[in-house]
Amino acid sequence: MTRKIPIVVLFVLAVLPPGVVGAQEMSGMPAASCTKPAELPAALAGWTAKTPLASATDASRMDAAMLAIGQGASVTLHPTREVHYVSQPEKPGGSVAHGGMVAVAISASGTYQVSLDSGAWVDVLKDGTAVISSAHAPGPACTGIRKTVRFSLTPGRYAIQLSANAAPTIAVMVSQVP
Amino acid sequence: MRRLGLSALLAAVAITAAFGAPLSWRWNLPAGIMPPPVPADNPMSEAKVALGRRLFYDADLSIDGTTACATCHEQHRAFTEGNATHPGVGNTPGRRNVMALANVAYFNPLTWADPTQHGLEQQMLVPLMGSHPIEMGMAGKADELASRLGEDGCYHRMFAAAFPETEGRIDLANVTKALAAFERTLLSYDSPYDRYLRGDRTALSPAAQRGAALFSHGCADCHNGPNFTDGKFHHFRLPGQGVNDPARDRGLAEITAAAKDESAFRTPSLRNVALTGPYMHDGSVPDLADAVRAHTGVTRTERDVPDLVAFLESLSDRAFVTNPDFALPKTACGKGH
Repeated sequence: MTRKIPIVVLFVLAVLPPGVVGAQEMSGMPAASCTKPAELPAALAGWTAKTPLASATDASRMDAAMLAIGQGASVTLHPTREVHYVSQPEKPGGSVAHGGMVAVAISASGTYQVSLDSGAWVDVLKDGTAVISSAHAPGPACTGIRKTVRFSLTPGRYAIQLSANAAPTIAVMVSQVP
Repeated sequence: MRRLGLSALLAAVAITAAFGAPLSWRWNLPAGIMPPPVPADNPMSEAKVALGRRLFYDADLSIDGTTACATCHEQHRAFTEGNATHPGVGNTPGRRNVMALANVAYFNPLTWADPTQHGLEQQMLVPLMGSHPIEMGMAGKADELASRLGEDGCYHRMFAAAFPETEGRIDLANVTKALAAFERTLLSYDSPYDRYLRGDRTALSPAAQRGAALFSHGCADCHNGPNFTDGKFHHFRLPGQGVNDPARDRGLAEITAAAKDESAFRTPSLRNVALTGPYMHDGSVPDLADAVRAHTGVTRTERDVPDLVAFLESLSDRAFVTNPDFALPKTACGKGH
């Protein structure tokens, strides 16, 4: 038989007068004190030498903003108001912040990690629909990677929306998680 | 039509003075829950709430445009976030765990350990302008904030509708008033526990019912009332933390400088607590069961923990965390879902 909650409990909890009395985090960890760069794991080796890439301000320009898997990129962003996202970012960023879009082609199903050197917000979309992230974490200490977000992806082309970045450039890498 | 008697008029004035809200404002509260107090100089209005909602999600309220109120107060987490502490702009270190906002209109004082924070309008200045820690980094930038918002035509219309008495002035005072009005609408009274109280005897599992009974012995000494907080400060030292630990958070003593207030923190509400982890003032306890165990002064056995957790989980209000009225506005002028 189900035990009833004593009426005195409900009184205590409810009758006292009021007023008496899948998502990703934006944050990373504060920078550690680093005396020298840490060695990167093999899967993140492409973070060291970044290629320049201009982000797109709308979907029609995404072909020119393709990220290569496993290759870090120094991505140029735009003032927030100039960016017409495929889908409203969950954290849009203010007018004084920067954002943009890049694309990535996935050929094999698996877990992929987006690594950033800032606390910017990242949305990954397929056919205009956001993919829910599966995990997030700070990057390895003293590597320059501040934030990582993981997604389970199937083959296809994805849009990566970057928003709420303080600086006009951001380091980004998409890598497959071993 | 019968005229109102003097006593009725006086009563109406008294009610308005106490709650400050026009009697026309519809709070949509369940029976038995009184409306929250509202300052007389910041009455509720639809226009003000819509403006406050847009501002809540606007990262232009931070110095570098990266951080909105909603950055740390995420709806799906009952307006907290999943980190122990949240860095401020420029990746400056956070200090304390983000507090939940469900029914925040009733809390007094506000924040973890500051007895001077009595109203939402005032408290907004802590994240906006504060330096201990830096959160949104707008200290000394009130004019810049107004200038940024003033570049947006939607804001001109929304401030005009919300603050006709100041001809829609876009300034820090009206920003904080609008944010406070929006936050006063963040009401959460539709958890399984609430439905149980309203007569749905199927709303709580047997384990949650046992947990509720256990909760009344000790837990409810501090976590009481409709929002499961007495609004008072209590000594709370995490297990393993010594009184002379230099890394400890002094809590209330940081403000009062009184030895008796060392490591005293305001009792947090437990509304939606299963969604608001990690726990404690420093976010050092990731798990709800361990948060129960961390309350070393409360008598219970290990066997009680699952039932207490089941009860705490019954305080989650799914309608609250999915209510489109509280979400990021989908249209430029802040209306619509």
